[in-house]
Amino acid sequence: MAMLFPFGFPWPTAMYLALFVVSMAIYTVFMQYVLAGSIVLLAGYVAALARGGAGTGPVRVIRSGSGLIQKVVCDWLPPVLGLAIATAIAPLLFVQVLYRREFYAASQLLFIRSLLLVLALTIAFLLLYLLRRPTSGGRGPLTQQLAALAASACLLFTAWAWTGIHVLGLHEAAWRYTYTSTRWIYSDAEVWPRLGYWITSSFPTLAVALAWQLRWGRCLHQPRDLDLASRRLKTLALLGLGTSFAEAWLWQLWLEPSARAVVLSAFALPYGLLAFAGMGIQAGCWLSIQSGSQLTTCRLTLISSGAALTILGVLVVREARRLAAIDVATLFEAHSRAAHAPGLSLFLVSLATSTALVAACILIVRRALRALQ
Amino acid sequence: MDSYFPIHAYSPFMKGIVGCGLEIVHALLTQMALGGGVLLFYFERLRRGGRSKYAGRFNTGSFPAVVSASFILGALTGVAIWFVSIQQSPGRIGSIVGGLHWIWATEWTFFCVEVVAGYAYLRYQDRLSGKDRLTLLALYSVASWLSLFLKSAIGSSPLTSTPVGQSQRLWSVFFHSSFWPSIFSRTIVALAIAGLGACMVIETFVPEDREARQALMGHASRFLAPMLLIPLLSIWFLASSPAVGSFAARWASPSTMICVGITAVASLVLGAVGLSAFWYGKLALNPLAMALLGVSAFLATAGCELLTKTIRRPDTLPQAWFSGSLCQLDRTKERL
Repeated sequence: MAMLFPFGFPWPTAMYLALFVVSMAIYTVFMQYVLAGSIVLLAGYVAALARGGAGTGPVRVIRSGSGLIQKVVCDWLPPVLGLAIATAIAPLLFVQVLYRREFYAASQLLFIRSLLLVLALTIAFLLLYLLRRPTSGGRGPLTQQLAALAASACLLFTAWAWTGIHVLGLHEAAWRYTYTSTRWIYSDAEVWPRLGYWITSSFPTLAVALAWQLRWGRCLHQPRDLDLASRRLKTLALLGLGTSFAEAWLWQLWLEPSARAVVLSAFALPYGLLAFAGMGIQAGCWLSIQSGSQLTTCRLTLISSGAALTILGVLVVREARRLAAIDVATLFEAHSRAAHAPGLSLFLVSLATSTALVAACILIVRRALRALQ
Repeated sequence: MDSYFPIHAYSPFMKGIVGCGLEIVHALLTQMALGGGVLLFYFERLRRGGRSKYAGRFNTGSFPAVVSASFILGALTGVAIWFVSIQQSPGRIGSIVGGLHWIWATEWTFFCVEVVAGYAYLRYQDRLSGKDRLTLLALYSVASWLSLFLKSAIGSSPLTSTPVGQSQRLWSVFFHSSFWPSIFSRTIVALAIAGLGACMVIETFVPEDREARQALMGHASRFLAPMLLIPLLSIWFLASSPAVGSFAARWASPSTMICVGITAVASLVLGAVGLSAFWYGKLALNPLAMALLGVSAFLATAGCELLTKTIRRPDTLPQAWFSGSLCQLDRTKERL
């Protein structure tokens, strides 16, 4: 691991690592929208409850910045969760090819947690659909608040469970103890800063995604609401960037020296710096935003590029930490065998075709919406 | 086979009820998603051609939401199957993933098209032109069928006598004898489940208008008619699967006979209802009849899924994995 990621490995290993990181980055965008979105939605319901406005769920209070944000989030959470689940399949597949032993051992040892997280995702998906519907059918504001709380709890549980499975896979020394122990809960000090990072870093991603949504639908909203919403998004993004930066720093302090040496080596350090540069770009662009009219395409493209750099950089650092925990050389033969499995050309053709078809679906909808405006 | 994992010894409950139960629910949901797309496409064509004044009402009702929920819940149960397979035999699922992951990745690309086209239709259908709606539904249906096609190839590959992924020839994954009856029967069952699901939605959400209900049910029930072919396809599948033992030996197995019997009876009942819809045009099904047909559809799906389980154990792989933890290398060492 003397060269920059993913170079320095045999081509099959480098290819699978690159595929895993890219597919994981696509999934991360949707996952972060859902994770932060559910917390924002819950916060909206709690704020409505604190105001004592029975019957005034956040979806109804749309004559404010927060209300507008919550309306859009509530409307989009179910399909985005669907997209998150769909895009999660590719990294889940490549992780089994890359780290078969580590991933299988961890998911075997934490089986109940693995199955519960599927159940939690199912419940969250159904609850988010329920929340999206208007408050007809006898569902009062309290029921909605409880549903938002349960959906957030399910999604946070999923995040915690995945982090636990990932971290256990890194600590082979803990497998024997976890296997013989009667304890159901696996906990490691590394779980919390990691989990904290993923939760807080979700807010800047949500903020930029919502900013795009508000920009595209600007003719549907009042300019005053857009101004207020853009200032709320700025606060959300800056808070998320600040806290996630602090947690990333904490996490690397927490690492054992051998793992930290790999993370801070030429293998991964440039990606870590790239992630911080991405955070800087995002913070710089958000700082000057005061009104909805400043959410221009150019500025949002710049913020999105910063977010993409951050996500990619962090994912590579995450892989560097994993590779530091295992003997990489033992994986090369298995990766080489896997790379020669049938179907690579079929996958490449279908990937190109499917990308074109997804673009076609988006263009069809965009054309129809433009015709209506 | 150089990977070793901590092995859990589970009771037959895990391999049987949990594993098969999940696969049956997964099959029901994913087939509902596929058949639902085809059914929506059919109703959209009826609407455009002016052949049914109620078709538009059906397509803007609750059925598209049911279809969209089924493809996401289908994906989630698929992930659950993955986790259960890891428990049953990590070596086996690892071998399948190692040998067929490019096909799985290909399936994923089509699933993404299915999800995007499905959501685009669901969210924006009231703002799209008729031609755009048809295009999106066609994309959705083709992508979901291709996804099912590739999943069937992955699912039926362990039934062949060649170890998974070792033949190094892509087309051998598809062009083996038990693949084709499997994909034909899954497609037919998908259409039937969607037809029945549509009847249930119509009964629930169009209770006040008897004429509309009968007309819509008449169209939806036609999707049940191909179920008449399922008994023949089951026999074809059984005859062409070379995994374990002779055809006669498999017929003599009580579990096989029970599965084929259940599938045949349930399929014939559903097929007969479908034929009557073709004959009379309109159809009225009361809630009790609907419940009975629902049970029949569940039994037909369960019978098809269990039939594959009767000829292979979920923790073994021909010539590669002999139990949850015993592979060819271990057997060679034992002999030495």
